[in-house]
Amino acid sequence: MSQKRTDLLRGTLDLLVLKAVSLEPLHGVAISRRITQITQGAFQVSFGSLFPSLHRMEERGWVEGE
Amino acid sequence: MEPSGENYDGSPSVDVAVNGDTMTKRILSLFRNLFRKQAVDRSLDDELSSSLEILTQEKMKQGLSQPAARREALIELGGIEQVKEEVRAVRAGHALEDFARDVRFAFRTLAKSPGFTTVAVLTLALGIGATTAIFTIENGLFLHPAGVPDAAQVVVQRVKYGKFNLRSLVVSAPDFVLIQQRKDLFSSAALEDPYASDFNYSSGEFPQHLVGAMVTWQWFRVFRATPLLGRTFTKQEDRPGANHEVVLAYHAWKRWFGGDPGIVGRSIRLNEQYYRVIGVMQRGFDWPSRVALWTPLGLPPAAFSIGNTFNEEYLAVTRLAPKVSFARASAAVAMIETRVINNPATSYARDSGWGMFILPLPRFVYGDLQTPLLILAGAVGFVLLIACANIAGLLLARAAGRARELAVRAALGASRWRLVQQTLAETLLMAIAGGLVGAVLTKLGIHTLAAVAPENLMPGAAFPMDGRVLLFALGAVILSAIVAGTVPAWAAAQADAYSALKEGSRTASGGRSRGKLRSALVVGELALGLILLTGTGLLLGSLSKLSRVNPGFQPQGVITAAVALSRVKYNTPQKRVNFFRSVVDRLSATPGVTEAGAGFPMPFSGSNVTGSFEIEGRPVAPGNPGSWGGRRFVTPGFFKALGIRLLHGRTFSNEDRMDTQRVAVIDEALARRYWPNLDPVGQRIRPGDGQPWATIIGVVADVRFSQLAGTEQSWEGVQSGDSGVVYYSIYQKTRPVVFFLARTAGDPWMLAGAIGRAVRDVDAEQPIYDLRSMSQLVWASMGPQRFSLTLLGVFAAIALVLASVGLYGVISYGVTQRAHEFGIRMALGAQKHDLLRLVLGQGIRLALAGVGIGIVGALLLTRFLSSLLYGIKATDPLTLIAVSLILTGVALLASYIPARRATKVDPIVALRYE
Repeated sequence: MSQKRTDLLRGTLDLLVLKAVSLEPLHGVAISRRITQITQGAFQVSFGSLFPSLHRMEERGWVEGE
Repeated sequence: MEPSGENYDGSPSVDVAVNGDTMTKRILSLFRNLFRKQAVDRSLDDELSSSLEILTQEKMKQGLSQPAARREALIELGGIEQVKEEVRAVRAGHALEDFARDVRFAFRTLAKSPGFTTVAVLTLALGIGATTAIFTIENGLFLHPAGVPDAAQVVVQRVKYGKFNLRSLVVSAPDFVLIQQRKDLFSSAALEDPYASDFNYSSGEFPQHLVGAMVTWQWFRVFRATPLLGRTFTKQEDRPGANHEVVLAYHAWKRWFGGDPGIVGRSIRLNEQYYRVIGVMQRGFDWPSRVALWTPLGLPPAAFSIGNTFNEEYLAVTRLAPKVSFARASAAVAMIETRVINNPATSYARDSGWGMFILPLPRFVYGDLQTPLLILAGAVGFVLLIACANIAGLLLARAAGRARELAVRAALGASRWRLVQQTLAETLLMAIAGGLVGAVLTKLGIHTLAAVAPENLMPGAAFPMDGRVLLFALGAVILSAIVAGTVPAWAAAQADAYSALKEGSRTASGGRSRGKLRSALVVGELALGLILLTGTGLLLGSLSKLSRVNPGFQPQGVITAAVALSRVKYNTPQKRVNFFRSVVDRLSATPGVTEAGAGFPMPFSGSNVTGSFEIEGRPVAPGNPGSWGGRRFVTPGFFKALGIRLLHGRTFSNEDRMDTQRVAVIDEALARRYWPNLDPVGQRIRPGDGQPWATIIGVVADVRFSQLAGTEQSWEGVQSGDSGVVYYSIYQKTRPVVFFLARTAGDPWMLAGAIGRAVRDVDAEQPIYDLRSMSQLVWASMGPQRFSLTLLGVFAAIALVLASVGLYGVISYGVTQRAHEFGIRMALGAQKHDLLRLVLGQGIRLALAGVGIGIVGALLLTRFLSSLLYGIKATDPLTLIAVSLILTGVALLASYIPARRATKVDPIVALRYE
């Protein structure tokens, strides 16, 4: 996993995740696949980034676990 | 990609939340994370394992075998523990949780090696304790002088005479009026007469001399001092003739009146007059300088007339009005000064370079201590730095042994920042323990300091360990934790987990760079130690030069004591002369006394008298300040008793009386100044208009007056340059206060009772005070220098010990690490002395590097010592060479012990050990 994640990327990732789950509830792996799909392969989201992002947004109340 | 429904039962998925109450959510999360940690962790575990499951399923669908699919899935996931750690890092309250864990871990680590921990804690305690002690003193002196609330708002009014190099401590009554009038700037103002501090208290058999203060009625208001019992003076009581009230100081009340609560309203006898006790002051307030009592000054209105402008007699204190800054008050005083200078009635101000200024009370009282305390603050700062460097060195050495542990932690998902935090938690814990032990050291240190400090160096000062001190100590703790922890933490963060794990625990390759770091730390410690040693050496050299200065008289074998005659009983000059003469006659007749005399003011006793004089036939040109010098009033035996050399002419005799021609003796400086190429003997001078002319009959050697070198200081003021002195016969011009002195061939203390007996024989009710030997007075004048030297010496010694412990640690560690190498060397034929040279060489190299850097540092820093030095330059090469040799010697010793161990390595054991 990359040590060099910038804040810009982090914010972008949050947005991408929100976009991915805006239509229907999704599982972590599915979100990763969906993001790769909608960015046409530009982003390969690692789980080391995805899970912290999900938890951060959950604590802020932006998303909810089922 | 579509969510592929079938296998996902129970696994978490996400949905967009509608509500936006973010803050509440965060706080709830914080509580959940902190108190329901296990539940949260379990749900994270579930989440990750189901993700792993999904990925594995996916890979298997692509045709991989189950184990291969699982492996691929793990790689894609990037390590379960690492992901968990990443998630934990974004959770609310993770920092707190991490910190608590770090502290717990640090506790365990420290408890595992009690020896290491003890050394580290003691080292830090020494550094933090010394720093805090010095801060406590500065805090006590400059921020909270004892018993005076808001002391920075209290200012002392002073005047100066530019053309005489004199900065007077006292001002005149008209000067004071100018300040007092500005009620917009000064809320209260008061005067004290430092020349009327003598009170003979008669009760019971022995009369007692008490130091008191005659003050104007607002005195206590300026200092915001409230009485414990009774009240203070009213304006009506501060009038001539009405001023027979007294306020007692707390310590005097306890000592002389047994703390009698019914004292208020009673009358006591002072100077043959009855004074009514109207109050007892609160404990802790005894300004100016430990007085036993206060009485109203009762100045007549005539004292304030403009004609008295240049008769400085009073100490003037003022409290600035609320919200008036010192700068604003200073500017106003400068304007008042201009008005006086431009006033034709006070044109002498322009002629003499007169000026008026104000000083904050703390600087007025402790101003002389500013430079020494600043230097000591720097010195303790160095000690603390050395202590921190030592801890850093110890941690680095230990880190070498823990490289594997750190690598494992890194491999298990600890980020670099976490490792750094871990180290800092450890140093913080040590620093806190050090701070607690240090607090005890501070308390002890301040007690010792107060005991070692010369009398009068810090009058009235108390050193409370208040909130400010605690805050400072806390700052010192945190700072030293960071300073001590940064280098090892950085080294820990640099560690390469892969190579450390691969190499195993043996001779980690990181050891080399850590060794270099430790050496650098030790070099720094030695350099700081050398700077402190240089400062100590310079002060020592300076003091030894100073103590060999000839003061112009021979203090050995002379004893002195003071007498203050009552103005009631001895109300005529003739009565005083008779008293002086009878006592001196009795003293001279005492067995063992070779010479006896009396005089005022006495050298090194703290007082001085100066004034203008006129020279016959030399009218003062307009715009010229006229002649000016010190004044002494002495008996004929004074010069011989003190051992002052007569250079020319004669000194006073018993035949110089009230009814004979007035005579004067001058010193060499005055002769040189006003009669550069002439014989002053036979010339006539007088102290002022209307006074009788006095013929100069002799010239004596110059005498140092308040200290052996530098500017002369006394109650009268601070005076730089040699202005010269005029001696008058006390039998022609008397004084109420006089010091008797007697010289003997042997120990002056053999005469301890002689002065008291002679005085009592003449007047049984007359007390004496300030019984001292002359050598003692001269010795006391070097108190500030000795004080600075002692403290700096102690700090330098601590620094030297810490630095050599650091050096010992590095060399000793190096020897252990290289045991194998030494074994090979010995097997190949190296002799013991070869190995000894090898190890000692390493120590010497470090010491020389330290000395080199230290000398540069010393050359840069010792100039701040200049003002404390006498007869020695701040860059004295001899001192630098001497301290370099000492430091190198100590370094050699510190490396010799481990070096000897190197020679005892058994080659067979060392090689087999591999």
